[in-house]
Amino acid sequence: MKKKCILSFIGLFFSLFLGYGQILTIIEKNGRKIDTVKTNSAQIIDINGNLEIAISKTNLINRIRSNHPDFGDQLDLQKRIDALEKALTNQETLLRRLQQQTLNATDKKAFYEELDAFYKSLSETGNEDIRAQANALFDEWRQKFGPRSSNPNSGLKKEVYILSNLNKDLNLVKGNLANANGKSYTVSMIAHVLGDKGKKNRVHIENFDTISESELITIPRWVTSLTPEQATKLQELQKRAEDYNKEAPKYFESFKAALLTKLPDLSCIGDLKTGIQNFINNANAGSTMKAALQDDAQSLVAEIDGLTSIVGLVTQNISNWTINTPFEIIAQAKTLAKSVDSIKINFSQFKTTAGTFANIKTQIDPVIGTFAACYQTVSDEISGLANAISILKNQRDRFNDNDAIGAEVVKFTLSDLPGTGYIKLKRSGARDNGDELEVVLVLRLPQKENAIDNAGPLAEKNETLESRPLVMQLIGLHSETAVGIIMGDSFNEKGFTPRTDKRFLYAPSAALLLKVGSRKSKLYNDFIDFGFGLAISTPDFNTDGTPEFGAGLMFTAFKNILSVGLNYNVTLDTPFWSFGINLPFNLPGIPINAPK
Amino acid sequence: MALQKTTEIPLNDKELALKEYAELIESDKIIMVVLGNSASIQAGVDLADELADTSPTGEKRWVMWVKNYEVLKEKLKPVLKKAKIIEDDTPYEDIKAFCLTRPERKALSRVHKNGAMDFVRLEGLFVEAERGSII
Repeated sequence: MKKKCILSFIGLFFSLFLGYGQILTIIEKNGRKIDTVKTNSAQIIDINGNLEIAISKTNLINRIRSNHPDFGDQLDLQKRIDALEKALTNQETLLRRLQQQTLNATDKKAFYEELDAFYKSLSETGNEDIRAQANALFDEWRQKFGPRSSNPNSGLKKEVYILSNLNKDLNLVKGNLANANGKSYTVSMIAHVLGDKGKKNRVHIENFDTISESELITIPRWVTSLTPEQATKLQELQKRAEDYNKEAPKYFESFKAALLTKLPDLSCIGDLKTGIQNFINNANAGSTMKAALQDDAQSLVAEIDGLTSIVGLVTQNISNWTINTPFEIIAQAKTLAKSVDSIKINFSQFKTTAGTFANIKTQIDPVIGTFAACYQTVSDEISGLANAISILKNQRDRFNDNDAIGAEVVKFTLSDLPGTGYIKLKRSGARDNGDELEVVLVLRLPQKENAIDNAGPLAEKNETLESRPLVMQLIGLHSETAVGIIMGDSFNEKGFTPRTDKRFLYAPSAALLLKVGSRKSKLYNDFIDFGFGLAISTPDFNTDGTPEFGAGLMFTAFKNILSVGLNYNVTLDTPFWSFGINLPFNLPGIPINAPK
Repeated sequence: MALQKTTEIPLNDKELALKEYAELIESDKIIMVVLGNSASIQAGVDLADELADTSPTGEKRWVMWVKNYEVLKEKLKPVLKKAKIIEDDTPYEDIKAFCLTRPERKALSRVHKNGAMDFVRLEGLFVEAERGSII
């Protein structure tokens, strides 16, 4: 109780003071049963269920305002529009009925329901501005038409006056928002199933994307193996998923190839290095002069070698860089730029030293000329490379950030954002018991400055506003099959004489198990997972090479890893008990395999 | 401003108070009950009296003004308790105004002592009671 109070207090604190109220409310519908999936629960849903995802626009606005204070003015306008639109939901029918002299019973009931909703909406917390406006409009009406204007012939009814003027204000505010000079942003909602090995399958959310629904796949509650049709379907889906996964990074790969061609051409640097070395060796200078020049030249050559080495490293890193791996190329690109600057400083020092000796001017001038041209070329190329790398990094970040939000995911402004989205899990494609369904609300911020020569998609930064990870599970009683190896020990009854040199004999076994999926405990579903059912096995107790037939009851735990059974060897007419440890990996030399 | 559609319940004559209360309760009017006598409440009564004359469908509205919390307490408190408007954290003395539907009389919501008695709230109370009076 105490813990619950503390949690509630923390929740209240976040809601009231940080504006971090929950944006997404997920409601699960199974037949007539409706459950709200609470964030402080295990968030387990039925693998074949239907979900309704409601968006709290107020909390969404608060979250955006909290994350991006620069959107404040637009959000204020949007909030006012939302409040006005909500209050004026039924204005047309209200106005129509207000014009009628008399209302029949049905119309009167509907009229009062709508009018009551109007005043209640104005009285809601957060609508203080609109409430004050309605009060002011009432005062205005009173001044224009005189108080106590209950007689419809004496003037406009107060309700008509207030509704009409609030509607005018709504249009005005909408216009202001359309002309607001703020940053633009949109909101999208996506969902995907996270399977084994992190593989993602996108799931259609009605009202929020145009992704076509996957084939109807109901995870069977009582059928214990896939039908051939389902197996084929799964293969097709698998291929489609793989194709999709390949498609997403395609743009990244093509740009990466283009990037490799942008690596700086260091041939002039090499020529420069040779030129400097030749100059030092051949310079017609005294020994003191030569020593001073040699020191500067060595520093310069070391810098040139350093630059060559970093370019080599960058080339190698870009070649090995995949869209899913982290990288440090940005830092290396910055080092490249510094290295070029450093070469310039060193060369300037070299030039100054050489300039003090008038007798070698004719020899040093060509070297200086070569350097000026080469420095400009390399410097420009490295600058281009750094820009290209940062663009490529954005591309890779976008891929990771937004799970490759495609054109099929609709962008909404706050005005046209639907209040509710729907997911039919049966239409969400291939999925397994225990897979995760993640619903993500994303704020999409266009960043035009990063567009790449009209190539590829317009750059866009995506920010997760709220993410709801749900675990899909066959809830309640269901059956499944398990295949594994059991160790059988005969009770030696009915005259059967077993082998004396071995107590336990291995036998393959298959079981049809009843299981219960929990809606509350991930620990139970993912680990404890008891099962009870019928098992058949083919032991060979008399070791004559011909398997016998055994049947019995089996109890399993820990995802079928552990099993205990009481069986009857029908062929030899003797009972036996068995246990099995079906670890999820193979050990050399031990006939134990994973349950299937 | 003269009140035209308000009955001020007498504070010193219990019998008369009960009689006037009974007459109003047995009438077919939508009744707004206002409790207390502060300046803001007096302004609220003026507004409620005016709004009693502006029902959008011509319903009969009336205001019952009880200037203290003792008179008619035994009659009004049960009505509010039944409507769960008075609860542990909201005593009778914290209620400033509420509206009663036509018979069978019932209260649906109220103005708390910290709440504003402005047009939106008072008209909202009348409309809510009118809605609740439709059979």
